[in-house]
Amino acid sequence: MESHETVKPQPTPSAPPAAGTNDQTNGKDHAVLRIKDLHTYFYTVVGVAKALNGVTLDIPYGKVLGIVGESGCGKSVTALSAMQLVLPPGRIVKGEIILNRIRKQGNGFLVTDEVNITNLHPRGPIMRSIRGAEIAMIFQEPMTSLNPSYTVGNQIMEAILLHQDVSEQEARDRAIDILRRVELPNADAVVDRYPHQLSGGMRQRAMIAMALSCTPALLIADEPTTALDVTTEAEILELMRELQAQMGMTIAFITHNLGVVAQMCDEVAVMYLGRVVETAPVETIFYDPRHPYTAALLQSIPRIGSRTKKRLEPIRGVVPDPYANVPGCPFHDRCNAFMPGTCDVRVPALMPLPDSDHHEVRCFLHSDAYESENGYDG
Amino acid sequence: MNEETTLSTPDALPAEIVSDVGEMSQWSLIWLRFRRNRLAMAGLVLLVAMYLIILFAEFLAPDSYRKQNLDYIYGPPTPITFVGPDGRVGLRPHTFAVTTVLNQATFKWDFELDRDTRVPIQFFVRGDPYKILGISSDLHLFGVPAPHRVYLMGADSLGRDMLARTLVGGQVSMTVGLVGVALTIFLGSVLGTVSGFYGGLTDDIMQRIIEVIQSFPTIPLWAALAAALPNISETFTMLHRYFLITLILSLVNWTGLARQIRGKVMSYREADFTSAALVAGASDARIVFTHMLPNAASHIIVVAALSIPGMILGETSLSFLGLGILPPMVSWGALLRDAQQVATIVQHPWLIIPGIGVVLTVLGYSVMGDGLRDAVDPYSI
Amino acid sequence: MTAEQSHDDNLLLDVKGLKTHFPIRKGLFRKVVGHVRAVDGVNLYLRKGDTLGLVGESGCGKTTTGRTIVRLLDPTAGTIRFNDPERGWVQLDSMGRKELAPIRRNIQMIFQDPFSSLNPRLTVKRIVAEPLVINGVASGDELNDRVAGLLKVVGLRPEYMSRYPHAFSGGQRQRLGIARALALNPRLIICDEPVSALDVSIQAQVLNLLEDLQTDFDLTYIFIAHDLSVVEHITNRMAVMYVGKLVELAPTDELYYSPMHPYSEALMAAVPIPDPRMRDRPIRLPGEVANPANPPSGCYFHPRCRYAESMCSQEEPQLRELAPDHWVSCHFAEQLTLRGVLDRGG
Repeated sequence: MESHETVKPQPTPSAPPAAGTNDQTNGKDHAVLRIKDLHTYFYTVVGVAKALNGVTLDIPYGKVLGIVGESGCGKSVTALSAMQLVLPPGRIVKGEIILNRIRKQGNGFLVTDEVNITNLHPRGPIMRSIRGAEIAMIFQEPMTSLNPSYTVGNQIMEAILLHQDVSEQEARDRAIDILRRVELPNADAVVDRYPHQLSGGMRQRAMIAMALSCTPALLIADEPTTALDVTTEAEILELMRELQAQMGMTIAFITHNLGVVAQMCDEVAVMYLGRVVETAPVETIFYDPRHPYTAALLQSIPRIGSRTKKRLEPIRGVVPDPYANVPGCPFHDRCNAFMPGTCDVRVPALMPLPDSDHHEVRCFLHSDAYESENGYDG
Repeated sequence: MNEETTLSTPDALPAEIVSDVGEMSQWSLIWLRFRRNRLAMAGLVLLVAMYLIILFAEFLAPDSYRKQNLDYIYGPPTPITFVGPDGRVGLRPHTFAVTTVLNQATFKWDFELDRDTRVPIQFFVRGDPYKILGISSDLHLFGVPAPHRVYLMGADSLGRDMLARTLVGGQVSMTVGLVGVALTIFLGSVLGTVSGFYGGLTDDIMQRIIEVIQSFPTIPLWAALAAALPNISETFTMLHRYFLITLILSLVNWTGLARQIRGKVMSYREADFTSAALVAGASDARIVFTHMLPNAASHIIVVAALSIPGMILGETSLSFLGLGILPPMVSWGALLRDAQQVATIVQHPWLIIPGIGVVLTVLGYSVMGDGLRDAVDPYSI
Repeated sequence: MTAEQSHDDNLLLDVKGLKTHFPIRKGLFRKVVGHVRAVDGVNLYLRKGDTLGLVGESGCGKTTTGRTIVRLLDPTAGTIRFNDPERGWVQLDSMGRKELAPIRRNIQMIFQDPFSSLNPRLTVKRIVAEPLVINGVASGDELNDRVAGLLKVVGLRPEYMSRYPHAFSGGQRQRLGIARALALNPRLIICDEPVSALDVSIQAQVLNLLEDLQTDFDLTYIFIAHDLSVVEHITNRMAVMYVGKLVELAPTDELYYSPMHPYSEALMAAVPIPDPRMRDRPIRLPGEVANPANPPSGCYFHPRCRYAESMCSQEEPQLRELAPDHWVSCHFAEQLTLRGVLDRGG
């Protein structure tokens, strides 16, 4: 049984413990997870699918980062890569994922330790100790993510016992406690129920409980409410908001629902075809989007309460096939601001905007910088 | 009717890599995937080769499979040499004359090779007459002048050429599976579809019948049915017996396929494309034949391919027990009757060669069936 | 619905007291031990050119209602009256298959899942042509021309006729489904969650297409969906269902901005608004959605309703017209002042 505490510095196979930075800011400049130029490719019989083709984003401490995109953009693969859960024929071919262990100290934060996840073996002991205890994940379909052969309590206890040095009785008590925290009525009865005995909303709460059982620093939520009814969804989002405030957790919230993003997130990263095309605080994304895809996406959704029945503006064309190697900017063939000779030749680099902090765009309309190579040829 | 497209944006062509694939029917796609599986292709090639060989069985063998030679009982395979009577290595293979001598000590027959008498093996010789698919001929691929004989695979208890018997036996063993499977497909599909499509009481009754049939132990059931067949006579020839044996084999086999087809049909019944056809006014027949069976077809083929080995082994077992194919007709199972005793096999190991035929056929079908199943999977619902 | 309305030539569909119950069978002899009351008393009506949204959460019976109207399912009770352009008012609920056949041409359906709604073994041409072939409408060259025309209408190139469904994206497949539904020139199309399985930016394409087709071909829609933003955009009238019952039937604007049923209010409060400056707390609905096999007594919604009184657990409320075209099934609808979508942000 491995015992692991998130606070104590652990020896890592890579970078030496970073010098503590005693920052007086509110943690905005500290990222729990830094993803730098990540490339995850799937090598299949039909060809190579570049699911992630240079993803760079930071998940800021204590905030909710929304990762938005449509099917094929790579948002789920990003989450799986961060957990080193990418299975063959996929693998991470380039880039870094750095997990920063951050501790609150006085008015500021201390980065006690850095772990390079990309250097860790996916099934090795260090990665396994990180999963569940430091980074936890919840999924879209609670029925298939919970093991139908074990009770809910058993599954939570399994997570607790794997990471903490406690007795079975103690683990059971903690399980009941966390089930109460996710507002499941009759927690001491639910703990002995099987997933099929619970409704969709209750199962999702159980899964959140399982994820939180070891108080992780980072929670990755992959479309957690997509399969739920709208009233249940509202309840779950409310729950997550409260838990996040109580526990000071950092959340990476993956979704395609812009309404959920607006209600839940502090910062947003918009992805398209394996790259991040825009990152900004949430109000900026909605009120001042600079990337043509973000703007087009916002134009194409019906807004409840808008009263004017404006005709929707769809984005023309379709998302390109993941096996096709699109030259230049991934969005150029659907973009209304397409500049021939520029956008189809080189890939624009993700650059901060001069007039706004924390607002980065990958577009030639805003910067001439481009990436020196088109992805990774290897 | 508005001739212009009402969409404000023109439609984009699907990406190139998909467009070629899009023209292909399911069958072409399945074949493409199957071809990539080397093991499955090897199985297919092996089976095709074997079927060609047994088709020309009597052409390929030097003598008729019924021709006895009481001078060569249990004789071993005759050796082949390329050294001619003049002592030089040549192109023509030769075999030796054999004399049979009674061993005074063991009271067994010894076969002595007369190394001085080399008998040339000739190609495309005229020999015992036979018929292939109704066409008569007496041409054989190779043979030796009378009164000598060449035994590439030894001789059996009556001095008959094992090569000829194995090849001709293959004709029965390898086709009984096909005929049986055709019956299985027919019975299984029809009854499974009826059961799955109509559901309710029909389905319940059908399932109970299937369960009863499946709970019988197969070999005793087959044996009982085979034993009940009438004796060979003028009206009930060996060919009749052959077909009735295949019928018996498929009588139990169809239940497995029926179950699976029923499951598939039940799931297709709920599929939206079925609902769409109903909303358009489709009749039950149309739904079954246009929508359900084509989708189930790939599955049926896989199940068929994988059940052929079972049938072949079934016939082999029956004939081995003396209940299937009866002499003078041969099948591999019937030939293996002679190889029942360990003592016999030890002394005359060539008698087990028909068993190799069974193994190869079963392996071939299994490997090919697996390949088919993998090739079919992603496109079925 | 008044007597005049039922003969109103402007009406296309008139459903009264619709019930669809599924028997629960247990045991060796499949005895019926209970019923799942998927649809348990629905009244609604459609005027020509309407787009009626039918919403509710899982288990509310909206899909079952749609399928019963199209007669994919048999109703357990109630009447479905359809104003057929050739035959006048006909009653669909009691008709057998043969009688339904000619009327079917006027009521078609679009399905939710673009992957299972097209038979993967058939070419696009055969799929779109099937309604025409079944009804003997066209054959040979004329059939080809009609299929080509239908493909163009939905924005796909006619050359694609010889391809198979797997060559197309989700949005394109939905358009194929729409082309198929249009083949027989129906008057009424039931759209069963037609955009739910599509990407957000593709939804707009298909929604625009549906709107254009409605204008071009004089269509009436029943639009079943769970995404309330989409429904508000495309519909002019709305029906809200809860556990098999219709709780409110009203023009869309009225439902969204001044709902009269507590459940509608809760729904409107729960929809996440894509505007970060409008963040609020939803109305908390205690408990879970009721079980259609074992619903609560009286008003099905009473265990979760903030405004429930003792009467609500005893008596089932009736659907009453409290404003023109605005029907509510609640004992206290007149007394309540409920929040609509724009009253949020507080």
